[in-house]
Amino acid sequence: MSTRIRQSVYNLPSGDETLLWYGRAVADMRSRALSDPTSWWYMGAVHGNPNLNPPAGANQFWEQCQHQSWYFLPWHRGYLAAFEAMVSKAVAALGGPADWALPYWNYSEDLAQNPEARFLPPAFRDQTLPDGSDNPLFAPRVQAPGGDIGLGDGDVALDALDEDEFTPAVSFETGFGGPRTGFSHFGSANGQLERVPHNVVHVRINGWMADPRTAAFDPIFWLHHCNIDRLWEEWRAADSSHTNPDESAWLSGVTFDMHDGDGTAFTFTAGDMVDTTQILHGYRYDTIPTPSPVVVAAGRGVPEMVAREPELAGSSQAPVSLEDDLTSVRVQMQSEGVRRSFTESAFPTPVNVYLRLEEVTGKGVPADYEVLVDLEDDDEPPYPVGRLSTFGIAGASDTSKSHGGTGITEVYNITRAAERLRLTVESTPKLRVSFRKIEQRPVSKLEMPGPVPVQLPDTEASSIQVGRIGIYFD
Amino acid sequence: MTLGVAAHQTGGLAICFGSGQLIAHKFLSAFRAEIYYTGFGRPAVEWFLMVAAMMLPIIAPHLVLLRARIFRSQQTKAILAVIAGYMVVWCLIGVPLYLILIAFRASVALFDAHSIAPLLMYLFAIGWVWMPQRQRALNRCHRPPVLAGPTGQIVQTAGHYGLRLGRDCAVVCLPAMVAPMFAGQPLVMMFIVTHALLAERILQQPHNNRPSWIVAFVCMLGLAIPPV
Repeated sequence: MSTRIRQSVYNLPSGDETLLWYGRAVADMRSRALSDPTSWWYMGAVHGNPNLNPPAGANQFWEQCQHQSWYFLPWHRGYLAAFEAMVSKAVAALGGPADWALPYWNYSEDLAQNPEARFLPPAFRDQTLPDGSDNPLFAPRVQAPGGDIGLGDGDVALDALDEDEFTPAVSFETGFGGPRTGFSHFGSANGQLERVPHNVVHVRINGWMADPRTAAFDPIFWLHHCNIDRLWEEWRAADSSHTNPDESAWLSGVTFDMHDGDGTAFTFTAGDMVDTTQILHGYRYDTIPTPSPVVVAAGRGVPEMVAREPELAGSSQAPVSLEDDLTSVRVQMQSEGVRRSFTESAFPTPVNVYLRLEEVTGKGVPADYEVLVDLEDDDEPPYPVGRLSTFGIAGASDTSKSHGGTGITEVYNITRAAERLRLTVESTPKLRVSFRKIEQRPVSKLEMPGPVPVQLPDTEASSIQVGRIGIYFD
Repeated sequence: MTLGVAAHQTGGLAICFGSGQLIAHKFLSAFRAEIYYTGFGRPAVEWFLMVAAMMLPIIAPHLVLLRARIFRSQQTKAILAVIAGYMVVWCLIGVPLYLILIAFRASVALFDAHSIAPLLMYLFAIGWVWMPQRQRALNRCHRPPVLAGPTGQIVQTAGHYGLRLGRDCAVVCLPAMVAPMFAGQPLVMMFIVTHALLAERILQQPHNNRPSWIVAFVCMLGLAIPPV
């Protein structure tokens, strides 16, 4: 079978039936029993399980999604390919095309070219179809008149594509693809692409998409992740220096379990996911003309560790609860004992300055936060340094899971902000870190049609706590 | 009670093979250390060395991560506080365990149960691998301490972390760890057990008990190892 081409959902030709067949396949997969590995329910639970009783043997396959990890991209690539194979088979069985491919939603597209790029694709907006029947592509999401789910510039920014490395050698940098981890369902730091736009779009869509335990039950999930997968290819194609990790720990360190389109179990590693044309049926993206290079850099071995690991220079004095729309915290600097270069003067002595949010825990389906830094006694407006996304925070805070409820860690390189603020050891006692809640619209309520009830795991009020805010220099 | 160490250096260096107990073994061999004692001295020293040798490799990654999150001026104190808290837990465990060991060995001798004793110990260790209490403790081992607070409080927090880590490590590791000791098996068995426990921590996944099978398998292997 020829390599399939994944296309932008907004660029599908007039009269194209890709989404029509997608909807039919979704309805078909929903009609299958939970124990069927190709059912909508089973496949959704592979990502996360809200409240379903696992059938025999399912524990090996369910709740396997990789987050806050350098396996985030390869695991979701394998997941998408398996899903595409299942949908494709259902489409063919229903009389549709044999080469059906998953479309992607490019919400980061230039608005001058597509003013609706950030709007939910029309086929996903309405609860019912023109004939009055249920729309299989509908799911509980933020109420979005005309499809406008409120995505702003910062929500779909592609700063991640400017990252030079997939996983930098310095432990604090999470790079394009995420930090070194073992198997990581949750509980570490987000890579740049995972944080924005991935996490932010999840929370903006809200409803099932806001929680990893229910996200994959929403049909838009797959178009969102298809775009994230495309951005991985785009990053690699943008510069020859943009290469995947060549460490054996990444290539083959962890083996993942999945089912293919026939419901047959197979395993894969991250190393199996570098060439999209070789994954199951094979695919590539319409905007990336040539297949990505397969070869990983040879002979590089384990990246040389930078001699200077970032060093803690300032810390908050107590855990912080983000209860209000705006929460501000003073970060105290420890001037004694830090390296001489810090105390002797100051900026620009450190090469990089990092803001690290540690043990971010919480529950419910909260909003995201904009993180800002400023000095308490200056007249300058606070400087935004990034987003704190709460996607997956409930799972990461669950003490019964293998990570022990570690929570999420976020790292921001705030060197530019430090430059602007003239951040020095002497001035950091005045450093203020603020969290501005990003307003969330209400979510439409809907019971999922089908044999298996799927509900949001948490409907109670959300709560978020940041264990510690640290300022690090290197 | 008296305790002393007589060392006769013979030259050569202790060689690190990446495992604490080998380091300790090589060290003691190289220096021909002789431990003389009365009363509780010998078992106390043996217990301390065994815990240090078997458990320090397991908590070393925790210490490395913790150190990176502490002000430089406090790193040494905080690391020592973690180790102290950790060893306090294991020393407290050592006292009743020693009494149990005495009773156990007396029973073995009394009933001539030399072949049954290792079987019992390892069967208990294998059964313990699948206990939910153990899994919960293993999960907690991955949780770092929240280090926010005034600078003086960090060391205190680190000490509490050491206590917590010691408790959770004991719940996870103790049965498998003491089984070779109760069975009177050679050092190499402790080496293998340590690495199995370490591998389990690194490889553990939600809903996937394959890493725990490593520990269970090693315990099964222990059944085939004769006592020294």
